[in-house]
Parts: sequence; structure tokens; C-alpha cells
Amino acid sequence: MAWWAAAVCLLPCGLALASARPGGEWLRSFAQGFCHQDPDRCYWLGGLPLGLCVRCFCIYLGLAAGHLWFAGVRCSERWAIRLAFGAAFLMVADVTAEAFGAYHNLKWLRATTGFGFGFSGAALTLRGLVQLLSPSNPQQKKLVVYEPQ
Amino acid sequence: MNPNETMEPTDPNLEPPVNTPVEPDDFKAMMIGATCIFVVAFIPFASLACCLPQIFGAVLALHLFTSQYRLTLAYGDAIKLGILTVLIGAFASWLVAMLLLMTTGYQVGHEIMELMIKWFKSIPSMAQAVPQMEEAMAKQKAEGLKVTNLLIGAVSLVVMSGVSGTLGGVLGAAMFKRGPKPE
Repeated sequence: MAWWAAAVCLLPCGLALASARPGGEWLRSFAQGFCHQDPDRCYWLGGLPLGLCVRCFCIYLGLAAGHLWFAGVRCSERWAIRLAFGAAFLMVADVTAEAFGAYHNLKWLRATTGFGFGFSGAALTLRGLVQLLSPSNPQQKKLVVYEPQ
Repeated sequence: MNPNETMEPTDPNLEPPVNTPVEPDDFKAMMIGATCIFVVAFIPFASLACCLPQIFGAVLALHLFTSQYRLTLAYGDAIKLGILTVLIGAFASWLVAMLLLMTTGYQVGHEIMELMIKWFKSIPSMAQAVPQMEEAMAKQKAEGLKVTNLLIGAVSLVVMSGVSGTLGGVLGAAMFKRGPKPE
């Protein structure tokens, strides 16, 4: 399952790379609505910007790597939550610092915080995907709550 | 206070309140989250936030659902709710954007591209890429809407909605633990 999840996460990265090839510009619209695709904030390949911004590209890359990593390395739920929210905090801190003019367009920082968020988020998403796709899992029983009348 | 309204706990005729099982309905929470995604998609320059509106929509749906029924969702259920919320919101906005493009020729988000090109022209190191970008945009506009574009758009919409919904779902489930876990 981890391989499938990683492959799905790598698909946008593949499309982003393909859109930076000569003749592949028409592919750029694939991420419309999901990424701003600002060329100033994208990696460039052969004189053309990728179809995803640095942060989005690295989030998807991190998710793919994280799914493969956490399929082999056990991580408790508590640590998975700490990792995901810690990485989310770092990413928000980066966005805030740039918005307040602390620095301008540091691609390596956006790539690092994005990759970290994707990688650590995969610890939680893999846990959820295992629950979702395992019919024998007891947590997949139908939800019922009792409402006083 | 009216004395007739007070309850007497020792009253033998007093019956305990009746509890009937209710299946939690996540439709309302899902639609509110999806509406949020739909509305944000048409706000100019909102695309600068990347997939944050989609993740926020999924987290919002999780928040509304768990607070309405006072429960803690398993990550699997949260992913289901997150993906459906983002899919509905993103698909609706994509459909409306395509209809606008086909009927009026208006492309949602084109202001941002034009602004970027104007800005690039003012930066010497970026100016070399401007003709290529303008050519690509003109070519895309001239070709109009092709089936392959629609197909790529639909497939990437499903994939990226799935990823954003999954992330939003698990983050929401980790954030909002409001009652007993489902048995």
C-alpha cells in the first residue's frame, strides 16, 4: 500500500517535470487551483519553470518518501502527531517570516520545510490509509452515537 | 422559577430520558467544507495559498462533524470525509471554471499570470523567459479547450484532491478528539 501511496504522490511531481519540457507547456494547467505555479517560486529545468512551486513539489516528494519510510519504520501515534504538527509549525513560521519581510524567496528553505511537512505528514496518512483499506480493522465499524430526545 | 417545573429525583413515576441510536450524518459538514473550497477558488489571488484552502476545507468539515456529534474519528474515517469534501469542492469549482472558459472565454486566475509576466519583464534575469511563457499562453488560448486538457485536468483534480483531502483529514482527526473513539 505504501508503494501505491508513494506512486500517487509522485504523479503531480512527474506532471510538473513533464510540463517543463519543450512542448509540454500545455500541461501546466494540471495544477490550476492547487498551486499558484509562480515561476519565480518554481525550480527551473532547461529554461522553463516546473508546473508546481518549490513548496508543493517538495511536499509531494516528501509525502512519497515518507510513505516508503514509515512503511518500514514504526512510529507511535503520539510521535506521528508531534512530527506532523511540528513540521506544519515550521512551514507556517517560514511563510510568516517571509510575509513580514525577514527574507525573500529562499527556495532551499521552502523546499526543506515543504519536504519536512510532507514527510512527517505521511506518518499519519499511512496510518489512516491502513485503517481505511483494511476491512478487518475494528475501527472501521459503523459509527453510531446516542442522541437524547 | 415555577415549582411545577422542578424535577423530583425520588419521584417513582419519573422515567429516564430515552436515548435512541442515531447514525451520524456528515453530509452537512462535508457540504460546508466543500462550499468553503468552492468560494475561495474564485477569490482573486487566493491561488497563492496553493492547496491550503483544500486542506482547510477538509479540516473545517472534520471540526464541524466531530463537534456536532461529540466524537473522535478514526484516521480512516477522517480520510474518507476529507477526500470527499475536497473532491466535491474542487470538482464544483473546476466545472464552473471550465463552463466560464467555454461560454465567456474568461479564464479563472489569468490576472495572476498577466501580473507575473508584467513583473518578470521588469527583472532582467527573468526577462528571457517571458517570450516563452507568453508564447505558451497564447498557444494554449488559441487551441482552446481540448479533450486531453480536460482529461489531464480531471485526473490531476482527483489525485490532488485525494492528497489534500487525506492530509486535511488526518490533521483534522489528530486535532479534534471530542469524545469516545468509535468502537
